[in-house]
Amino acid sequence: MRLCSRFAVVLAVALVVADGPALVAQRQGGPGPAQGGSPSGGRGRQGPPPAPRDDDRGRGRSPQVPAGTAVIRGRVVSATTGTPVRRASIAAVYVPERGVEAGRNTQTDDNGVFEFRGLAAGRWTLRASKSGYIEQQFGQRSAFATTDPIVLDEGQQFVADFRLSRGGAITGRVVDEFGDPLAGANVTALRVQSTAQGIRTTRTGTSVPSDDNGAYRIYNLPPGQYYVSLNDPSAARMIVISPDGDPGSTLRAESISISGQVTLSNGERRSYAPTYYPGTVTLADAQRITLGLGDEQSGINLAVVPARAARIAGRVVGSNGQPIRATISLHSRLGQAFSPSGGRNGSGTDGTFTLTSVPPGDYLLNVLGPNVGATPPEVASMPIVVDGSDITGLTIVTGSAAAIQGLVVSDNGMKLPDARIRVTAVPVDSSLATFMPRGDVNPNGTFELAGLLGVYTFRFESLPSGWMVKSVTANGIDISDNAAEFRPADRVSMRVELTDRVSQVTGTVRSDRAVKGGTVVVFADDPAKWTAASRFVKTVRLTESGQFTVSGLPPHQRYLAVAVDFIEQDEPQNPDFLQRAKAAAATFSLSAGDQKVLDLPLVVR
Amino acid sequence: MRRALAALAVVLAALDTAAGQQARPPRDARTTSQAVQPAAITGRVTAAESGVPLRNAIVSAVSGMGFPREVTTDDRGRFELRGLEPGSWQVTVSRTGYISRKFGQSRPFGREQPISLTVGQQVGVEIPLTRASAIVGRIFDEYGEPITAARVAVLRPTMVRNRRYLEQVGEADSTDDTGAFRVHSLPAGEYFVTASARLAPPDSVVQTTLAPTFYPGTPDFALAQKVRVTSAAEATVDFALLPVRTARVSGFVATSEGRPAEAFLSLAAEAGDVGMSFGSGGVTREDGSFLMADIPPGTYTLIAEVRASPSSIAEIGAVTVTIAGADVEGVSVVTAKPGTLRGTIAADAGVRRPIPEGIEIVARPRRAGAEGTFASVTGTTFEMQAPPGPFTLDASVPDGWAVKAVQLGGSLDASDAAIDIGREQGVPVTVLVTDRVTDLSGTIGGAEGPGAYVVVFPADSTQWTPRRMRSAQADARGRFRIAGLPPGPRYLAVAVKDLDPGQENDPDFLQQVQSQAATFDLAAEEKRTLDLKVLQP
Repeated sequence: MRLCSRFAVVLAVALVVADGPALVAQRQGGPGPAQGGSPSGGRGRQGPPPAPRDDDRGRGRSPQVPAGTAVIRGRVVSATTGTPVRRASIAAVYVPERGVEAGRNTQTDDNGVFEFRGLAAGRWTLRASKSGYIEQQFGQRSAFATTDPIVLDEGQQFVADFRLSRGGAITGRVVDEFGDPLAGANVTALRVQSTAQGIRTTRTGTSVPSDDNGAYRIYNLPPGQYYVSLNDPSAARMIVISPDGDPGSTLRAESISISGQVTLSNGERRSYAPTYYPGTVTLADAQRITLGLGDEQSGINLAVVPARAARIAGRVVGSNGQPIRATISLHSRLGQAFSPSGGRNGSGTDGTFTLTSVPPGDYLLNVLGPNVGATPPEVASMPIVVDGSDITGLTIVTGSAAAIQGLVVSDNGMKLPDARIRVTAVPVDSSLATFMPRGDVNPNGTFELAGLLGVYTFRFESLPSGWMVKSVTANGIDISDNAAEFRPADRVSMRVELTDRVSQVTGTVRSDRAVKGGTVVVFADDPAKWTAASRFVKTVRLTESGQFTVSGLPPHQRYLAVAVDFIEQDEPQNPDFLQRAKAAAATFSLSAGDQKVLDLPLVVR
Repeated sequence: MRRALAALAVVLAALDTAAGQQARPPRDARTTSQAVQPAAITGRVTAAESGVPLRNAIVSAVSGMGFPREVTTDDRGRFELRGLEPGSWQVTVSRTGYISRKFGQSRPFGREQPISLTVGQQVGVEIPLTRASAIVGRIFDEYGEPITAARVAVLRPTMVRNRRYLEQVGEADSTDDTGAFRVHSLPAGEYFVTASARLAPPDSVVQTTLAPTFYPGTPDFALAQKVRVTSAAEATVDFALLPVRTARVSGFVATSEGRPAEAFLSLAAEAGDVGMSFGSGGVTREDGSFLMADIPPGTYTLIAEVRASPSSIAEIGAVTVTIAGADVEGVSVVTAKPGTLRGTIAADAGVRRPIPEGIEIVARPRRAGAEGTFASVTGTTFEMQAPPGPFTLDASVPDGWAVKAVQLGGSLDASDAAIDIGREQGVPVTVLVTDRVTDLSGTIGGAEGPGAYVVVFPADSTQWTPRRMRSAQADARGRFRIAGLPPGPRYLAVAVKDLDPGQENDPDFLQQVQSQAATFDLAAEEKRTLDLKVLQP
C-alpha cells in the first residue's frame, strides 16, 4: 500500500516483459476469433432489443416520491430570445433530511410551461434541460454554481421560471498527416479545472465522430476553458484473441514503458496517437480554447500524429503458477481521466491473450481472474505505454486483491457509544474500479474490507452522534487527508480514531442587502492541506437567515474563512480560488473541541 | 460507370504454391512437420474513376482461422497481409470518402467472394474504390425549430427470408445543435431516410416523443419517398418530425401456478409491410408487476418469458397490446410451459428408399426480428418448444429429396401457411418427404453465363413462397441445377448477371423481370432442361 496524495496511478503488478519476435508463425487452433465487446456495438441494429436492462426495473412514477399538496409551476424560455423552450425536460427531486432522493419528471408544453402537482412539503431541487441548452438547476447563477433546494410548504404554489442559455460549440476539421480529411476520429472537449493536484480535465458536451470531410461539431458546452482532443476509436473495438502464446522469460517490474520507432511499412495498421489541439500528443503543449456563454469557436483544426497500431500479447498466470482464464480490460487515458471505452475480453483457458490494433497511448491493463467458490477473484493491474511497437511475451501474475483489517476506537480510551458505523472505500477513479468495498463495523470496533485494487479514499458513516473521525492510519501511515493506493495482495491494518471533542465554527454573514443563498468556505492556510480528500477544507451553505455552522474541522493554528454570494462546485478544490480568497478571508485558530463564533462580511463576486 | 463496376475486383496474380515455397528460405528443421506455412494477400487499392493509388486505406481480413488482421495502404496504395493461416479470407477495404468494398463484390450490396489461400500461397489483388455519396440535411420540429440529438438513419429495402426488411446503410448520425446531420460513405442509389428523437425520460408525467418519421415527413412507410443520391454527390433533405403522445403499458405477469412471475418482457411491433419494428424490453418487479414507458401508438405483441437459465425458457406467455395514445393499464399475462410441437417425418407414397439423415426442421415466427427454433430430430420423429404466435415450419432435406407437404392433423396443408400452436396444440404435424423430385438444369449461354444467376418463380404471384422461389449460380461453364421445386404449372425463369442476397424473393425485382422470363410447367418428378440468356438491362 502506498500513500497517494497525488493521484498518479502507479498501480503495481507483477509482470514481465520479453520483447519476442514481432511476428512468429502463428500457432493457431481452437475456436475462431472472439469478437471484442464494443461499447458502441449495436448502433443501428434493428428489431426488438434483445436483453432487458436492470435499470428498467422499477422505473416509472416511483412510490417513494412522497405526495402532498404543494405545486410547482413555471415557464422555460430561451435566455437569448425570450421565446418558450418547448419540450424541455423538467426534473423535480425530493431531497429528504435522511434517506434516498426520489424524483418526478415532466416536459414543458408548447408555451414552455410545466407543472408538478401533489408535491410533498420539504426540500426539492428542480432542473431544466434540453439538448442544445445548458442544463440548469433552479436558482443557479451559472452552469457549475452551487445552489439551494427549494423549500415547499404544504399547499404552496411555487413559481419557478427558467431562462436557459444555448450551449457553446467548437467546430473544426480533422486531417491526416497528408492533409486528407479523416472520418471517424473521436473528437472530445475536455473542460479544464484547476485542482490542488494540478489540472483536471473532464469530458464535457457530446463527443462526436468526424465526418467524411473530417468536420466535427461539439456542442452543449457550458462556458469555460477547454482542450480539444481526438483519439482512434478502434481502441474500443480491440479484439482479444486466444489462444496465442509466445511466453517470454519473466522478469518483474513495477511498470513498463515500451518505446520504439514509428516506421510504417506496408503490412501494418496505421493509427494515431491521442492528439490535442493544435496538434500535439502532450497535454502540456495543448492550447486551451476559451468559450463564453453560447459562444461558437470555429476553425479548431487538428492534424493527427500518425503511429503504428500495436499488438499486445501475453499470458495470465495465477498466484499458484497455473494459467488462468481471466477477463482483461484495457483502459485508455485521455488527459488524466481514464476513458471508459476500452477492449474487454478474456484470456484463453491456457491463459494466453492477444490484443490487436491498439493505438498509441497510455493504458492501464486490468486483469480479473475467475471466481472460484467464495474466494474473491485474483486481480492484476499494469500500466502500459503503447507507442507503435508490439508488446509480446507479457506474463501477468495475478494475486489476491488487497484487504483491510480495521479497528475503530475512541481517542480517549473509553468505549464508543453504540452505533452502526459503516465504512466505504471510494475508488478515486470510478472508471477503473468495478467494486466499491463496504463493511459494517462490529460492536467490538473491528471491520474488514476486501477486494481493493487501486486508489481509494474512505468514508465513515453513521458515526455516534457528537463524534467525528480524528485520524485514519493504514499500516501506521496517516491517511486522514489522503487517498491510499492498494496493490494486489496488500494486507493492510487500518486504525480509525474517533473523537467527541468536535470543533464547531458558527457565525453570521453580514451584508448590506438581504443575504440569500451564500456559501462559506473554511480552509487551512497551508496549500499542502488542500488535497481532494482533505478535512481541512469545508464548504457550507448559508441558512436563509444568513447563519452557518461548520463542524469537525481538525485542530490547526491558522484557518481562513470567507463568505461569497455564489461559488462553482469545483472552486473549493481549486487552489487558485483559495489563494484569491485568502485576501478577503477572516483568520482564526482551532484547538480540539473548540467552539468558535465568526462574523463574516459577504463578498459579492 | 458500369464497366468500372464490373471490373472492380480483379485477381492480378495467384502465384502457385510451389513458387511461393521456393521463394522462402530453407525451413528450420525443428518446425518442419507441424508448422503451418503462412500465406499472404498483397495488393493495391486504387480510385476506380482515375486509377490513382489510394494511401491510408484500411484493409482488413477475417477468416474462421487465425485472428483478424488490419493493415493500412502506403503512399502507393499498396498493402501486404502476411502470415495468414491457409483458409478462406474475407477482405474488406475502407477509406474516408470512398465506399467500403468487400473483395469480390461486383457492385455495392453485392455478394462478396472470399479469397481461398492454400499453404504458403501468395495472392495479389487490386481493389478499386468508388467515391462515396452523402445525404445531408436538417431535422426540425413542427414549429420549424431544429431538433438536437435526433437519430437519422439511411435505409434500403432488402429481402430476408421472404420478408421485406429495411436495412441500414452506413452509420446513423445524430443531429447537432443546429439540427444538422450528415450520413456519409453511401453508394449512389435511392434510399429511405428516417429520423426519430426521444425528448423526455420514460417516467415523465407528460410524454411527447417524436415518432420515427420517414422523409418527407410521414410515419407511414407507404407514404415515404426515396431520396436519390448520385455518385460522389450530396443529396439534401430537410424534414420535420411528428410529435406523438407515447404511452405507458403496465400490468402483471403470473406463472401457471398463479405466482408473480420474474419475467423478461419484450414488446415488439407487429410487422407491417416492412420488417422494421419498434421494440422495447423490460423485466417484471418482484411482485410480478411491470411498467414499460415511451411506447408509440401501434399494435404490439407483449411476450413474457420466465427463464430456467439464460438460454432456456421455463414458461412463456404473450398478449396483444394496442396503443392509441392513452396509457394501457392492467395488462395481465399468465405464462405457461411452452407448447410442444411433435411430429413425424413420413415418406410420400411410392418412396422406396429409407428417409434420409440430416433433415432439419425450423419454426420461424412471423414476428419481425424473431429467431427461428430448431426441432430436435430423432429418427423419423421430431419435437420442439413452439414459439408463441404464428410461425411457419421450414424443413431442409438432403440433395435429391424434397418436402412434399407439411400436414397438420393429417389433412390441412401447412406447407406455406402459418401455424399457431396456441390454437393447434396437440395436433400432430407430419412432414412429408419424397425422393421423386423435380430436376431443373440447363446452361446460361454467352460470355456472361459463367457465374450468372438463375431465378425461378411461379407466374402466379400468390404462390410466391420460399419453397417455390429458388435461385442458383451457374458454374464456370454456365451450367446450373435446381432440384426439388414443387411441381406446378407456369413457372418463370430468368438469368441475371448479379443477384443481391435475398433478391430472388423480392416482389419488385420479380415483377420487373417477369415479362422477359422463360415460361415452363413442371410435372411431378419431371427432369427438365432449360437454356437461358442473361437479361440485358
